[in-house]
Amino acid sequence: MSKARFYVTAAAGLASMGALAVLSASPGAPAPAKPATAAAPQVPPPSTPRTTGTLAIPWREAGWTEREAAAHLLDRFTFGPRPGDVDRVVATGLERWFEQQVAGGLPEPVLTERLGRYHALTLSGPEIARTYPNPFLVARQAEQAGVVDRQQMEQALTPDEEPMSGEQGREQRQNRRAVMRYGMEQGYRSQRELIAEQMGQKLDRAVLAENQLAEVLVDFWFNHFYVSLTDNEARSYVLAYERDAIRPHVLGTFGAMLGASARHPAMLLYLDNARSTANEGAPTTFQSRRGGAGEGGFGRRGGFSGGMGRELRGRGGFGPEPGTTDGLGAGRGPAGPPGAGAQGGQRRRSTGLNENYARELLELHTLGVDGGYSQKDVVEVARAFTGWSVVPPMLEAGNQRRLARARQAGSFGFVVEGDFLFRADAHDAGEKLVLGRKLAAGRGIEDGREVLDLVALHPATAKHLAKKLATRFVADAPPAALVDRLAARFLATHGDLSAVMRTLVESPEFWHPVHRGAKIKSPFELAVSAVRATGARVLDGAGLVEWIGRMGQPLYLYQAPTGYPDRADAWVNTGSLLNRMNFGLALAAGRIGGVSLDLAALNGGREPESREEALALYLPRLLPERDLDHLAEELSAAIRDPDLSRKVAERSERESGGGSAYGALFREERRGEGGMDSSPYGRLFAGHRLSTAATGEPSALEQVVGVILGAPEFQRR
Amino acid sequence: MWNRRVFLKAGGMSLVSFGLGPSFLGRAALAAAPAGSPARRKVLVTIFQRGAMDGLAAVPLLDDGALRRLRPRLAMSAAQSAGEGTLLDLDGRFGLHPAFSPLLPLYRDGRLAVVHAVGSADSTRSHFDAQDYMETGTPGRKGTPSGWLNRVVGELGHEGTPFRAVALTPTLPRSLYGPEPAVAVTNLADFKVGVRGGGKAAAGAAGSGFEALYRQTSEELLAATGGETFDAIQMLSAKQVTSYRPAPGVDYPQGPLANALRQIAMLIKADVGLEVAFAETGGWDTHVQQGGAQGSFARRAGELARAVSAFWADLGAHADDVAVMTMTEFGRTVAENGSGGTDHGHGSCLFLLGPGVAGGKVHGRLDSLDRDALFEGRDLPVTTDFRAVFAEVAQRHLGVAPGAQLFPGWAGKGPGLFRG
Repeated sequence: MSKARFYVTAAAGLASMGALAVLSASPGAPAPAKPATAAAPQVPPPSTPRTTGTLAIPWREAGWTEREAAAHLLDRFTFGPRPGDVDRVVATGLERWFEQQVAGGLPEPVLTERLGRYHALTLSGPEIARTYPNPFLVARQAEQAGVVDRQQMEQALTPDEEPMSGEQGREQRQNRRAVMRYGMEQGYRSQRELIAEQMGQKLDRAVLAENQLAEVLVDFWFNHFYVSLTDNEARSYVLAYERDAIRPHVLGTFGAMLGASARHPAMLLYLDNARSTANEGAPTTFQSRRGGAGEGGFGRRGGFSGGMGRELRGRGGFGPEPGTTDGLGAGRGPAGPPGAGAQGGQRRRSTGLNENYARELLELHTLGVDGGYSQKDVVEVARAFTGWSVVPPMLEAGNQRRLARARQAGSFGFVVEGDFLFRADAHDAGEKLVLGRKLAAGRGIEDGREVLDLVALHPATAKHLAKKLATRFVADAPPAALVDRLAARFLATHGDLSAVMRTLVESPEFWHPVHRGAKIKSPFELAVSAVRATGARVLDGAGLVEWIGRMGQPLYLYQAPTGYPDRADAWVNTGSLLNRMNFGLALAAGRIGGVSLDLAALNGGREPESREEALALYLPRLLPERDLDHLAEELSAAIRDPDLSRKVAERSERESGGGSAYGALFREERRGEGGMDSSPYGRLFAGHRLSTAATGEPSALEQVVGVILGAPEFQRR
Repeated sequence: MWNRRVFLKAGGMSLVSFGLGPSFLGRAALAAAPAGSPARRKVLVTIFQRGAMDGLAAVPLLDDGALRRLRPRLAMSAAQSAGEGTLLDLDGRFGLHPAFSPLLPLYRDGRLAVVHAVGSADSTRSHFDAQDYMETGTPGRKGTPSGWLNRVVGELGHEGTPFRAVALTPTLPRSLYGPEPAVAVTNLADFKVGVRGGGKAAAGAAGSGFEALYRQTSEELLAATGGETFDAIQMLSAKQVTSYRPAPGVDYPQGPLANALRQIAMLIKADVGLEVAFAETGGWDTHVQQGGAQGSFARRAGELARAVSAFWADLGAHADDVAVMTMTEFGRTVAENGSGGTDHGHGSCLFLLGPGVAGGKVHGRLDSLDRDALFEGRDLPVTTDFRAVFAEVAQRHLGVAPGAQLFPGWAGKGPGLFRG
């Protein structure tokens, strides 16, 4: 069942990796590391803090005790308090603690050491894309290298859910091995390994970082400028996107983050701008600067071939495919042999303008859905961004030549920076009118840049972002006065995000008692806060990641560019709530693979003698400064249930396998040829993390802690 | 949504505390329905065939010259002499792939219809994008926050139970993203409190502990949803989910789709308030060795047909309230490729099964497979927008008024797939 389930998960894109899932996990031969800069993984350098005088946090005025205020800060600006954190914040001083968080410069010895396990973090974005290529690209390259023929390649790529039997099955396995061997020889590694590292580093940073606010903000801003691992083409760029386009700017300026996201391959591919070209008949920058009609191979029809691997599979039915020759990915360039482009196969054809990025730029990233723009503005913005594209990850000879010429052709308006490629030959050079601003004809990359400047500091953007931030940090329906104040601050500081965060914490609305505990944790926040509260150690992330998915937040796998909704009712439904309760029980009972915890250590190594004592000792540790009297009363009734003291040896029947996409993903990996033990991935997620080792009745202490973690109060922050 | 949920929760609680059976909850919700609505809730079951089903392998034109020419190895015949590879004659013009034969009686009964040359207004050949567009119901637009099935639920216009919208999938499908509560679960037996291997007593105790905590918590949403959750657990446990037995003589095939449909049948028969169900099946991306009467397409088709047929038989009298609709993101090239398969195309076909369906008929327009008639010279053209089908099914089966709220930016008409 798992095989088929694997393919049909919502993460349909991921599924297609199944075919060559184990590229680097072949028997006994560890993948050779691709030569790479051996830089240590970096904890991001702090943004330059812009001090705005002494911070004044109005918690006293709102009637909080200092410890309550410290706990509230920890609830909102971290992934949850660890044991002793409230004491530490009080000792540091609340204002100073917050300033430290906004500065983001606390030393990170533990996290840095931990991140050393992630190979991908040592690589640049372009290096990652070339080290963990899409299996389709590898197979096609193997075909071009003559390792397999066309049919063998297709066979190797056929997904697992329809296993071929007999002779066909043997051939398929053989062809896969051939492609895998070829991939290993090229130094490629499996995309699964990359995904595991990506999820692992997110968890590790959230659990271990001292600069917690930065991590919370990376989570927030990544979700704002959302890209998805479900996208085959964008997949190998997403880790670098988060690290290079989002992370450096979360306490810097919004405009810088917007610009970085706009030019990053992950965004350009996910929202299709990489294939958006000037409409038929529109003059391109290249033509206008060259003063001719692009007969030099850089006309719209002379695009880069080779594609990004989204749909590299098919061929044309017969004859030339109308409209498929434009632009990146489908090119049958004049330089190539006739028909060569057809081997690039079928993918989304670039038949000219693609409005997806332009629309989401306005609706989601900046102005907001009611931001006062029209469909005409969307089209004009899309025209402004034509040509903002990506250097294909695998440079075939024809592309090499074209890229070299693009670099040299700077005077014609081409720009190549890292994997960002501005294609002057695809840019609509006509005049544009965006939100009332006229963009003169004949320009190139400046068009897109000017649009970004125009929307980054637009009042509608300020309002939209202020509302989202207030929703994340204060309440699902934030007070209008707070939103207005944050928006004003945003505009006054030209989008300085650390200034906005300071204004947030200084606002009386932030400290209104009604907002205390008013946010429901996302599944990721819940899992990380439970790990932090219990002092659990995450040896590997697979088990937690699977639980987070089961609770409704498969990491990086939400499909829509909106990112996950930030509202309680999006997280809380009957199925997910049940999983939250079971998560609490499972974590406390040590039943989550890859997570080790020592509950007694939380109490100085001493086991409590009764349930009541356990509750009295652990409740304030796990939920510091909440309304404990009331809680203790409710909880003690819950744990006094007579059944709870009955020790029953019978085990619940062996249930069928885990239902999440991750379960399927990891099982698939394990049953892949060669198994996972020899791969770096195997090292990462070693052992039987998903089938939990511990069995039998949880101890009384585990049950009490499990009930606390699964209780309504622990779902709130 | 909010008030409805609180209302339901209060109703559920009082009923449970009076010792009435949980199935009563579903009926109570029905009793609260506005006058004039049907006595029993209708159920729409959707099956997404991921990977793009070859509509011309499923329901080909019979003995079509163009098809024979373009598919020298794949095209099948209806001639008796063809033996095992015989297409089933649907209406003298279209044939049905023999692997779909378990569905033929439903077609002959007039309950099952085929809609041909159906698909998206967007011509993308990317699985990812096309599935996204079909599930949001907004071709060409990726940013639509909600899925079309979630919007259908929002337009039902009456109260629902926790099991109103259920996906038998590991994660919530894009079709069900949105404000209306929906549950994704692959195994209903997992729908309970407890840790694996943790012992029943502890699980039972933790369950009642949690129930008390959630029912009295001051946070409204957690209290309401917590209440619903425990009502739902009770509903299921009273219905003995784990020991569900299909109707006598019904034999579901192996496989995830059949497993999903079996659980959907159980939910329907348990009367827990199911109204929209989602299941999916993979393996339709037949680039290589697609096969004819045998082979990979035939295996997938056979599994689908046997699963739907068993599901329908299992429903018994409940089938009067149920419609089943298949969908797939696009079709495949009319011509076969060099690997004995077909590549990404445009239009495909879908199956619609239900009480009011004008069945026994192939709907939609498919004039010719000559190259001039094909989309971009290679694919089955789309002559029926999938939104026209979805909107009509939502309207005629579930009573949801068609309009922009269901498919933003679209204002087409239904193709007339229902009787009367």
